[in-house]
Amino acid sequence: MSDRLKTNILRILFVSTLLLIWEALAHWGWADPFYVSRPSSILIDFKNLFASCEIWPHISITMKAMLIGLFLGCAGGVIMAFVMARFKMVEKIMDPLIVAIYGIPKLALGPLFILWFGLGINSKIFLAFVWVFFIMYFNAYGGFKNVEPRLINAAKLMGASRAQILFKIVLPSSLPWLFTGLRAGLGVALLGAIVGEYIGSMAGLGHLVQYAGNMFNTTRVFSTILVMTILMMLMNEGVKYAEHRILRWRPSEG
Amino acid sequence: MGQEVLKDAILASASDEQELRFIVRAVSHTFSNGAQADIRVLNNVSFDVASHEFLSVVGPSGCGKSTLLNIMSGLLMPTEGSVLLDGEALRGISKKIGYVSQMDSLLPWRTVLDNVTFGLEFRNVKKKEARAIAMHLIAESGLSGFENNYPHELSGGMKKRVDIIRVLAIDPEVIIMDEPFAALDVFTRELMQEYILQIWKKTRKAIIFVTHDLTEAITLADRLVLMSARPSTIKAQYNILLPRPRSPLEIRYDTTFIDLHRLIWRDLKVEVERSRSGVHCVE
Repeated sequence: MSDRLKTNILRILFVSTLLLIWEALAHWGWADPFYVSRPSSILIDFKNLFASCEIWPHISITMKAMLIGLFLGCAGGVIMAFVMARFKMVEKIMDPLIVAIYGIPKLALGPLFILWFGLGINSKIFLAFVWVFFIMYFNAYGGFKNVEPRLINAAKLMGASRAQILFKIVLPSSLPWLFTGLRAGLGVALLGAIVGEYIGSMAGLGHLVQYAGNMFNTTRVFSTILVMTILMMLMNEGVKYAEHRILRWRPSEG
Repeated sequence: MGQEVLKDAILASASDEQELRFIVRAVSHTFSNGAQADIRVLNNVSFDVASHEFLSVVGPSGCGKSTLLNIMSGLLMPTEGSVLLDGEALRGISKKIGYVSQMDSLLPWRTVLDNVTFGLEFRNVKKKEARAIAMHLIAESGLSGFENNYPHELSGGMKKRVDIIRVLAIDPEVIIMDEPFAALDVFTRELMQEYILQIWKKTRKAIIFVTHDLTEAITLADRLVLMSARPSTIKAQYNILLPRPRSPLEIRYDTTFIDLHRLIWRDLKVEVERSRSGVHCVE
């Protein structure tokens, strides 16, 4: 406990020092605030974004695109992994194709998606979905393939049906893998939504950053990035907490 | 006394007055491997187990015991012959058979209590009732206080107990055990032998206990089936007429025990050497 406290104090000290140096550089004119802004201005702008309620519609649209993309990507990835693990023939046909498609830089697909789905939220959802899908697929596939055969055998010998083996053995035993996929998926879902907004959009955090950048408003760029970072941290902590609660049975906790 | 026991020991089969439960009749099994030559693993294996009987099956390693176990548990259909349970041919997995394997197969994400109720979930037993059955068995096995622990928090011996009471919970007629104590240390193994004898005495289930430890086999069994090297047949059967209750720690010093051990080992040794010469051993 005191060890953890010490780590936290040192971490805060480290970050504050960096911020102070940044502030000092900008204040004494060693770095041009036009390009690097300064922590105090960023904090004030951050406060104003929330005080004026101007930020909420952007947060809400980005979160919406991100969460729908995350959900669809997770569901699609898990289902795909299940089909592949269950049917040998599908696996044989699809495996090299999936690896090949995974190799395409998703960023390159952005303009195509906007062409297909328009400037609205759908193109962002789709970009997030594609990104999450592969990450979830690879994790879930690993999970399904690594179920202990002796656990499946034991369940069979106890009289479990196929469906019961799936729900009582395969899924719970793959949960650690699925959570890894979910946590990684969280990051790329936000990435997908924001990149989609960069490429073309009318609202959202990505749009806000893009717009501020075009206006040479570095302070706004930084304060929006701060909003994204905080959102990401909160969601990550949420998933970590759920994981910790649900995977209580695991021998070691990192 | 010792001489008589030895005389009676040879060529035994389940006595007629007991109702026969589990019959392995002329079972042979051949694995076909496509291009490779077929491998005959079991050759005309026949034996039976009476209700309430403790039967040990001993044979050299790699002698096709696991194939026989898979057939007896209904996981595998033999290429020839059949397995009868209560007069009916076994077709697939039966709810009358319980199975304890060498490695514990507890579900790591379930507590001790939820592991014990696992099998009952496939038998339409109400949750409350299943819980009561499990709690009773857990208490009987001296595991009270560990109901809510996860398997990784238990010792090897405790895990094995949970593994066994999970099978007792579904109340099978026959329990098949595949070298259940092979992975345990010697001291724990002896305690577990004592434990299994208690369980058997209390529940009066028929137990088929497969092991390659002859001392263990004699210590526990009413009757002992000796399997030959591959392709496996039943080489001999022995009645183990040692008095009960037996103490696994003491009985091995009994002179009758020693004589029985010598008698059976003489036969077993031939098979072990044959299987070691390795001609038939493809694992």
